Amino acid sequence: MAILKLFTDKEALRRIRTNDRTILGELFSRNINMIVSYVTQNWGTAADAEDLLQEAIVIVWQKVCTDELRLTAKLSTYLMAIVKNIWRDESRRRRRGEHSPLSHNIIDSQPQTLDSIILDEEAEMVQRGLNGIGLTCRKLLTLFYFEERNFKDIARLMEFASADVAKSKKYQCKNALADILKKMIAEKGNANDLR
Amino acid sequence: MTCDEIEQFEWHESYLLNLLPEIEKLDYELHLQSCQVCQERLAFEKKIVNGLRAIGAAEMRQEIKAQVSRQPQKNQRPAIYLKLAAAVFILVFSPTIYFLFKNEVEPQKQAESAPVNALNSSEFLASVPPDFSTNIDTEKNEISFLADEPPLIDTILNTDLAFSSPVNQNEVDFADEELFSEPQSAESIAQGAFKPQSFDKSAIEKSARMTRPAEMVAFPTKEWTFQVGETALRILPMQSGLAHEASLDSVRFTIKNNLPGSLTVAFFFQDSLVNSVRSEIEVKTDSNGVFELWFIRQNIGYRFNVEQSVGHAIRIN
Repeated sequence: MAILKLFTDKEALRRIRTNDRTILGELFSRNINMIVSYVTQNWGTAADAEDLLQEAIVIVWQKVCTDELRLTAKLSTYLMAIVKNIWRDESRRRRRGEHSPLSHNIIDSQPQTLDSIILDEEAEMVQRGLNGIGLTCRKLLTLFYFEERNFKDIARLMEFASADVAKSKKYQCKNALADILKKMIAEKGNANDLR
Repeated sequence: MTCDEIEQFEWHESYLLNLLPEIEKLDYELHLQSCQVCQERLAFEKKIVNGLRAIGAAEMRQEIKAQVSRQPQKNQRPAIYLKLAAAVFILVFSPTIYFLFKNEVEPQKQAESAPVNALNSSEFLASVPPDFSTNIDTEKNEISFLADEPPLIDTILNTDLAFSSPVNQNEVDFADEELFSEPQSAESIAQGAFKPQSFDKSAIEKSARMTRPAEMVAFPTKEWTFQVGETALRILPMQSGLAHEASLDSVRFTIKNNLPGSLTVAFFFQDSLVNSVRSEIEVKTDSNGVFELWFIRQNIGYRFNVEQSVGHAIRIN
């Protein structure tokens, strides 16, 4: 029922804090028309707008999780402000012919910088490393490093007994990931030595 | 400070996450300058943190895409209903505005002399969304309230309060307050098949069924929500004069209890304030997608059925 899809900004923030990811699509659908309108009026495409909005939602999500976001305006206004900032930087980069994290989704033909290649490789390596640890560890590490949630929050969301338990688990999970990565790096080094 | 201590207390990570206190941060940086081992460990930590962040962001983007692709594509029906609802309410408010300014004229008496040709007024049709205007069947006289209504719509459209154009969402246009007398009580309205029933906001929000049979609402009291076909109709009291956020798939009335005994009704269509008129109204709904809008002071009611492709707004009494 249509009315059930409606939610207030306050409700949206509450759902983000409780890690209710079902709100992601709703946030996107609610704001995409506004963003497309802005981006296409500023020499961008609808695909650019979609990427920008996704980026903005990710930023909002992180800000809410770290309690950095204090809404003094509507959430849509905040999203639009983020989009405008990213788009301004992105337009500048494109004018200079540079690659950016956003544009690698959009323009494949643009050359990547060394930094972004390294970042992609690191992410790929960590991704493979994450496949070697359990789902619980994966979720815990994402909550801590990506969403930057505190241990109290993590304990609540993952139903650990306390923040200390969460901290201890995170330590173990990270060490497990680090061990896998070290092995991978060593194997990679050996492979390079053989060439 | 030794490398082992730094490792033990996870200073590499705290440094990367900007969690180190300023003094410790300076100590750490000082140590880092002269320690090759810690530099390598920091670089390794950075790989993990950057990688996890990049993966987290990428997964979230994927999740957004997946959720959006799962959402049902909106078909044209809601848009049609919105246009239809907008048109119907415009049609209803036109005579109401007229009555508010010409309240010495009796509605029934005027009904006899109503010009059927009002529908053919080009100005009137211009104010109606195109999809709806093409559906108006003047031959069958289906939108019978127009045929029965006294007001000359041309005249109404030329008044300042008529449906000129969408104005700022935050503006509410108030009619001359002196024109309003004390409203009649809700009980004075002939209820017909609709029985009064009280329900409050929380009850509506908790209910999955937005439309209830034979419900009657008297304003101003609470916030009301009706599901009419695929259109959500929300009626809510305003505290500050600012409109609540509108949505593409909802149609809302905003009721402001500005002064005792008087109300401002503002109709929002896709974020724009289409019109606002002062009246005392109440809304009744039934389970068949029919709802009635009553103007208490004039004792005039209109019955809408927005489930049909051609809008009906029939004057009941």
